[in-house]
Amino acid sequence: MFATLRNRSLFNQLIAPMVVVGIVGVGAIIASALALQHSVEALGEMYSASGERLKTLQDIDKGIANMRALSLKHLASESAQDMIRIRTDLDRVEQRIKAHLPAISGPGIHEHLAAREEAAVLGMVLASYLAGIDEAVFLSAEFEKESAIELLTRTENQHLTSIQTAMQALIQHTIEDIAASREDLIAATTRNLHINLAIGFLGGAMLLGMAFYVSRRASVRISDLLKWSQRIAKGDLSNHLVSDAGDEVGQLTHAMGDMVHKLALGRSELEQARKNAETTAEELRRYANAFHSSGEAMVISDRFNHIVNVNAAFTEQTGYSLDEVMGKDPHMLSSGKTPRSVYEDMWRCLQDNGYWNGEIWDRKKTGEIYPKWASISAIRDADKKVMFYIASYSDISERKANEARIDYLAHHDSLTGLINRYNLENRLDQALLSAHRDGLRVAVMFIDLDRFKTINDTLGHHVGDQLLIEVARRLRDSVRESDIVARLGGDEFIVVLTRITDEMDSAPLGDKILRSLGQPHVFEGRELHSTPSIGIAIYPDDGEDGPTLMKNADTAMYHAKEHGRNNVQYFTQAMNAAASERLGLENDLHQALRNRALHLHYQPQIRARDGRCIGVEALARWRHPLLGDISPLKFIPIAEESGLIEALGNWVLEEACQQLGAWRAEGIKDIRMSVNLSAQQLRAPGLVQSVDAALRRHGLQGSDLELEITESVAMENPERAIGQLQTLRDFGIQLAIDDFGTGYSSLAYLKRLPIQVLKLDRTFVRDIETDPSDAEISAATLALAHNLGLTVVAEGVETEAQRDYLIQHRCDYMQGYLFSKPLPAAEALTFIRAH
Amino acid sequence: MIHPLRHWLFVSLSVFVAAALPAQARAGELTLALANSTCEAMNRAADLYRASHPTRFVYLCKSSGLLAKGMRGGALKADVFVSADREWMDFAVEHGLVAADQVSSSWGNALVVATPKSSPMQGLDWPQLASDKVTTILIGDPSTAPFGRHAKEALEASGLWDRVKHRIQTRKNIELLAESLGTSSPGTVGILFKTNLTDQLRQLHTVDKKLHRPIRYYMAPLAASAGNADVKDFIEFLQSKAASDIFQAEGFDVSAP
Repeated sequence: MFATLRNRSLFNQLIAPMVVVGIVGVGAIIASALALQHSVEALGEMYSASGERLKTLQDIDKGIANMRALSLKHLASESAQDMIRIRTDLDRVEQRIKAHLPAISGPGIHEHLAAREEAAVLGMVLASYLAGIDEAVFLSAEFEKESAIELLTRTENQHLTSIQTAMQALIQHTIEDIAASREDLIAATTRNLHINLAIGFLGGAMLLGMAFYVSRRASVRISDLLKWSQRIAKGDLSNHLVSDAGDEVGQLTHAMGDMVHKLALGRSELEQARKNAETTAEELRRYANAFHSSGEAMVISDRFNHIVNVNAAFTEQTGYSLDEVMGKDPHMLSSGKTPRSVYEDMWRCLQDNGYWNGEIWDRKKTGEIYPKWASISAIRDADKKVMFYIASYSDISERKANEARIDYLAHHDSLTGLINRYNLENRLDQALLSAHRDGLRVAVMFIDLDRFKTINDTLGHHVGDQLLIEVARRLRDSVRESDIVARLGGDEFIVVLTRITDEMDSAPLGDKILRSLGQPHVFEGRELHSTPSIGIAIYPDDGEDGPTLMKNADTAMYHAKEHGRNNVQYFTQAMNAAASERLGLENDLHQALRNRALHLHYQPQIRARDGRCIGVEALARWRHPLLGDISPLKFIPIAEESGLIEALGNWVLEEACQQLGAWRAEGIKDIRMSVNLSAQQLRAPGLVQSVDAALRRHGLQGSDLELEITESVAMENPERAIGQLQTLRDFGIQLAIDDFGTGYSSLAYLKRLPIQVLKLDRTFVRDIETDPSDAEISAATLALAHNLGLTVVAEGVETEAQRDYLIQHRCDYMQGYLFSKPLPAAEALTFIRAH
Repeated sequence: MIHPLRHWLFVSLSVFVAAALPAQARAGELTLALANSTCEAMNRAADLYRASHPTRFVYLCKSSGLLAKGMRGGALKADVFVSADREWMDFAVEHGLVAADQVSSSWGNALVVATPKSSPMQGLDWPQLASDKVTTILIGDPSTAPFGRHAKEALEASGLWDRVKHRIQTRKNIELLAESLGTSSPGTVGILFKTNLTDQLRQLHTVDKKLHRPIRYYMAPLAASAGNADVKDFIEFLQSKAASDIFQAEGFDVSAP
């Protein structure tokens, strides 16, 4: 039997024993399942009966809860109509409970005598509970609420516990029933499982034995085949195995024998062909890739210079597709702008060297002419005869444009388009050279815009830039074509008047520029006033080379600034002296600050209402060891420009606080110390701490101090200033805006600052008597300030007429020579005591 | 498990107790537990009394039953208790709140049938309460408010109770009833004491005295305050002619029982 089985397929060798074992196993399982079914059915019956009973008990429980709720609602009701409705609901619930009563002694219960008794008890208790509720509700319907509540409470106390006990017991019994049936079922199931396991094991073991035998035999033979195939793979094509059986493995062995034979034949031919093909393909791929994917535009033309192929980059560059140029002469691209000589040179090179590159101008399909860099090679055959020309073109128009732009940028100011400092030096040298040759003069004008920084800071760089562009335009319009206009950077401009005969030739132009730049500018509907300060140095009198002339023109410009701005100054040697004096003062101030050679004076502030002195403004004074008293108008700007102002400001703050502390000790009360705050101080991050520390050191409070800032300081960085000032304000420190009316701030800005005091600038006060418009400004400022809830201190009050005008317009406080000049501490104390 | 409704009742009662507790007697201060119907008259009488005495009055106005039960349970503290019927004063005596021999009865009252002023109903006879003209009858809660107890008695005595029962709605106290009657629909009538008619109400009928037990008020000092001279003095004042005049003016029956 095994012998016949051997020649069957592997599938049949396995399936026949499996079918036999399977049939026997299934028969056994069916028999044991039938036995199990009986147990399951018994349990199912018990489950559904018990489930039904549990559900009924649950319904009764819910019904009782409903009864209680409804009866309480009935008792709480004040309306007969409501009670009738509730009564209907009650009746319905009661009917349901009563309907359930027979069900609780249903199937399954007979197995437990105790359960049957519980069911009977529950029925009875429920009946008397419901009767009690009926009675209570009847009383309630008669509006005898007190009695009804009493009865209801009694009924619940009497019956609820026994109802719950009976129900619990019933539920318990039902659960016990279920548990018993479950145990029966588990026993039956376990038995059944054991039988099934035994059948399974037996059948499985038989199948496993059979499968092991068959597969073991197959795998031994397959592994022989595998070894053979490895040898084939290594190239050994000798015949090793013969077919030994009729199954799949035998057939496979036979087929492999055939294959090995054919393989041996075909291998040598194939090897040769493959080698050839690979070499060719690789070469082709390389060329095609290079040509088509090249970023450079490429053209191949034949020996007659007719185009045979172009690549994608060519089409992109020129706009021509292959179809449009096929068979044509590349000369068709020519724009005519390339000189003939270039082409002649190209052909000569190709002839002689087989290679040329150079720049030519061609025309695109759109007609646009552009420069390109061309590289052309002639490809020759073994006989040195030209086969093809290969040309590649790159578009160099952008590079050319960049070159031009870089050249322009190097020589011009990108904002205004004027020439820049670098270019100016070259041009100025040329102009000087030319003037020297012809014995002429050159004027160098240094132009600086007044208060440009303030404009930039308050109105933004955007407006500042527009202003610079406009100024550049006006300057250009003011001078001759041959003159030079340059921007050095920032708001500094240079105008060079070339080839003038007399130094006064420059005067009319200076005035012209003053007038032109002084005209208001209008940006975005806003009128802006800007004036220039101009310094002029003349070649060869004020300097023989560019750098000297520019330095001297700068000095002259500085002088113009000091002379109230908006004017023209010619350089003089005296100016050089002033500039060096300034430098000397800067050094001395440094030293004075270090050696505490500065001191404070105090100018009283007077209350307009009653003439009482309510505060003093601390003002720094400097007595120079050689030069005597130096005006703050002179040394404050020096301190500002040399970065000393922060140290100076801190010194003033400390000194003023100490003085006020000393006066306090002498019994002076109600005097406020006013101290000026510089931009640098306001910017410094430690301002609040140092003010606080100074106050503490001298036992002062925030309300004893007033800090004055100029409006341009506040406007420099409004958000930050507001933050800093608000913190100071929180200390109780009074904040004042100094010099109001001289800057650009609007009252709208002012409103955002946490200030309380506005100081009216002395220039307005000074002209109250003489200039009606200044008087009006003063009056309007007073009114506006009062409107904003600010108090006003007028500065520089010198005459009684000014005082009367200010009082008439309800100015709050005044200070000025009319009341007192700034006084040394001791005299100030006397003044305060007297007022 | 506490049933939600129970829970609600419990919470409401706790709040009620908590709210009532601060009313503790202090020196020179008398707390009066008053049946709602006497509240207004008592206010006037107390005002008159205060004109000659430095006494401060605290008024607890509720239905007599709630007062009696509140005092028994300790939720309410008072010096003088005025009940609108014998029953609740007896309750107080039974529970030792007041001494039986200190109970006096100086005033009586009468029941009337009233309707909202705007109602078109005119001259309603007692038996007509059972007619279709009347949609709702408001009475006091018979189990705590004496004016409700008396109304129910009268309706039962005249054999109307079963015919009108489905139209009955109750209110906890007389002021509440007067207020809700004043704003109710035209078919609504209410039975209340004559003394508690408000501007919003119109009297339709006076209930025949024979239909119910006599309506009498009973007053007594609380046992705990019986020794207090102020309490004694005030109760004497209430029995004086001057106080009697005030009660008469308010519509009470001041003739001896």
